Amino acid sequence: MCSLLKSDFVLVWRDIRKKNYVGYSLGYKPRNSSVGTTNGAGAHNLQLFALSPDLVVLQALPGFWHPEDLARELRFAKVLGHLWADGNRSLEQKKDMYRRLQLREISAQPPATYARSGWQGFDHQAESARLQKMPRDTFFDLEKDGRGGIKPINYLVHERMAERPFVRFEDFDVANFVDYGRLYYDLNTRVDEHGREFRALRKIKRRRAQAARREALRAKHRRSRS
Amino acid sequence: MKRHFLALALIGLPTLASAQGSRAVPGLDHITSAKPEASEFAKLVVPGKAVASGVRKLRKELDWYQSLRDAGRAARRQNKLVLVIQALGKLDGYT
Repeated sequence: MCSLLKSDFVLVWRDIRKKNYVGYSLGYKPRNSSVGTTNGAGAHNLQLFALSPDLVVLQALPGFWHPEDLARELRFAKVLGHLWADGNRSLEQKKDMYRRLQLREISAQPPATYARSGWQGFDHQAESARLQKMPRDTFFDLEKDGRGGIKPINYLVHERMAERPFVRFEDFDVANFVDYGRLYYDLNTRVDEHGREFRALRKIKRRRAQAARREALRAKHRRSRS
Repeated sequence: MKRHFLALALIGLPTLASAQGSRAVPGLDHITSAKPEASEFAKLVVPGKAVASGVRKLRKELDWYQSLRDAGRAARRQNKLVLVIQALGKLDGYT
């Protein structure tokens, strides 16, 4: 993985603690243990973007990814990079081809990637609860897809990216792209020492709680008027 | 070379309509065989020392840019792509 990153990418690290879409994670230092997880876990707190040199999003990945699957996705991004750089195609042709490549990748990914792309239990529960209230693209449509149940994360990522062909990084709607699962859980409890809360997140938590209370009051008034 | 590479990737590309319709997903249909290994990985615990060593290696061996614009320029010069890692926290601090 390190050699792939070194040979084919320049890297940027961005701290997103003040972004509105972050989850409520506790912070852990590099000397703390890390635990295995599934592809796409932690989507609100970690995202990877492969960009062209002119900062167009080729591929985006929410959350953590198994090294083999990450390497596959980065190589896929290189293919998309060649498409973007192709001077013989119009923008519309490139976008159409982008969509098709993303959807084709769904069929091409191996069983091992699918096995590693299951949902964390609490994320699955959160999505099932949301499905009761509104349609969600996180679930298969039995009629359209010929199968039911929740989509594996790798499947969902490529579908969502197919809807975002060659978007400039500054215009990419990260909040919607990572919209699945719970805002908070901690896989590291019972492994070693507890993490530390990010101060910046307390303000975000307060704002969200205030917005939720205002919305609950508005809903209550609407119900009493009707 | 680049065009040939792209052409290979496009071989067998379904039409958009059929891709959105009944889409065979071999990886998903044969997932059972791969589940034990995936399950083992999900239980993995990497000790703190190994994590710290990995972070040091990443910081030392890879070129990290602060500015997206500078990274883009470097990527163009070196014929590479840019990989942006957005995370809650710092690479060598709390995350």
